[in-house]
Amino acid sequence: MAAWLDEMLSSGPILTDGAWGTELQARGLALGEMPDAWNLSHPDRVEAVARAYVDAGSRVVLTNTFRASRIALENHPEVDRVVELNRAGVAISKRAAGNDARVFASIGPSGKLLLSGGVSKEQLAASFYEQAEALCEGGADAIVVETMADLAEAEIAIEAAKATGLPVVACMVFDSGKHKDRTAMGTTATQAAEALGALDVDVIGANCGNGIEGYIPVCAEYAAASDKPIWIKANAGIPELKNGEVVYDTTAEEFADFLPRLIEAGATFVGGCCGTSPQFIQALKDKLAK
Amino acid sequence: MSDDPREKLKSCLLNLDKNGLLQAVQAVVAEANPEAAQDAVDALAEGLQIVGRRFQEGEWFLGELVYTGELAKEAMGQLSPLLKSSGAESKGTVVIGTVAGDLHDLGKNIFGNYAASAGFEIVDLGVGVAVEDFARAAREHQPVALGMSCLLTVCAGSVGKVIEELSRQGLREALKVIIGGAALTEEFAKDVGADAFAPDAVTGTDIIRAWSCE
Repeated sequence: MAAWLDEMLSSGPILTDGAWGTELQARGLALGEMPDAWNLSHPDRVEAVARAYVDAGSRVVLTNTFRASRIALENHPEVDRVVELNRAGVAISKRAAGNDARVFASIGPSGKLLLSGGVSKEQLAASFYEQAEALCEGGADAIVVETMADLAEAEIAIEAAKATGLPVVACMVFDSGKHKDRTAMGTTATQAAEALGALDVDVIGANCGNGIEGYIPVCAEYAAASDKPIWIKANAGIPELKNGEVVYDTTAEEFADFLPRLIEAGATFVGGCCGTSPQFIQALKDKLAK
Repeated sequence: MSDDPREKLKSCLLNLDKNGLLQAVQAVVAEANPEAAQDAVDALAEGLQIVGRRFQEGEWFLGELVYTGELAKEAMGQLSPLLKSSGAESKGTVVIGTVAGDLHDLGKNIFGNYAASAGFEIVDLGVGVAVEDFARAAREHQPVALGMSCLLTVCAGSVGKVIEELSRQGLREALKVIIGGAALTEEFAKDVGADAFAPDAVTGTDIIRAWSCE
């Protein structure tokens, strides 16, 4: 493990950032517009999001590169600017982070499923290697492979991230099954922890999902199955559409109330996913200070 | 396992046994009997209903749903020429697509496979489909239903725009609108004036099947 990461981990719970999409929308991102394209068209507004998180207390900020892989951008006009989008995404977050936070670059899923033949392993590998390399060249401190529902795809993205030599965080999303504690493909947290651990990642994690409360048992399951540091970035509950607006039912304070239980369950990195905002990170920071 | 090819077909589907399923389909095709082919299609539909129930109850997951959808599609591809030669009619055309701004095709594709397996002709417009392209397809293909998929909440607004455009062009009354995808809900469907919300591909197929019987 990188010395700086080791040192960071030794300092106790680490706050990451929250959602980006809704923050970009608040700054003018139109419905249906590709958020990652803003790294080139509106870098100042993207930087404002990262800066808001750093100001709120995030010691780790991600990058606006979740969909910036060649396959995820297929049919999008920016597909031939994949490398630029990723490099710019890292540069933006680095400017906002300064010396106050580390930049963990985001790699999200392709949106295709290996099982259905919608994409081949080779195509996925080429797409993720290209993205990971661009993120590394951009100067990221680490790479986060996140929101993965399929271990087979996660494995390919993780190998691509590891090839850069940067520390790697590997996150699955658990939102399915009777108790909403499985991935969409049916993988349990124990199975995920074992599989991700075998890939020798630095940190294992869970993000998105159905809210922070549901990730407490997932976190405990991870901790029982693995010695790796654990990263949890939950949604602010389950999204609902009200009058055409996406609404999440958990407030920043309610979210932060779960922090002690999450840490007790074994989480080291804590932040938010869909529906969270800099206010959520501030609330987590306030809770940590108590 | 039963010697009845139709029972075998169903059990192979539920055991995710591709080779067994295709052998069972071949046995039916070899009979060259439209009635036997129709029985086989019905058996597949029964199997898919069970898949759907297992998925809805959290017993099975996306992998099984996708895989059985693919198997059923392949089986239907071999059985449907027999049905057509017997003059059996399609249940009608269904136009499907993922709305503008959203490039996710998985849910749409699963629904397309399931609906095709239930006897519908599918016109798949792909992903990121513009409002006017949905309307054009509705005019050209005169479908019994139009299905819109939307995974990204930020793109949900496109669903209502398509329905408004169908109304504006006088196309809305002639078809039913069904919507689905992680971004959408039953309540949203009511708000935008869709006829139905499908939480998954199996339910969606059940809904359009019921419509076709009306």
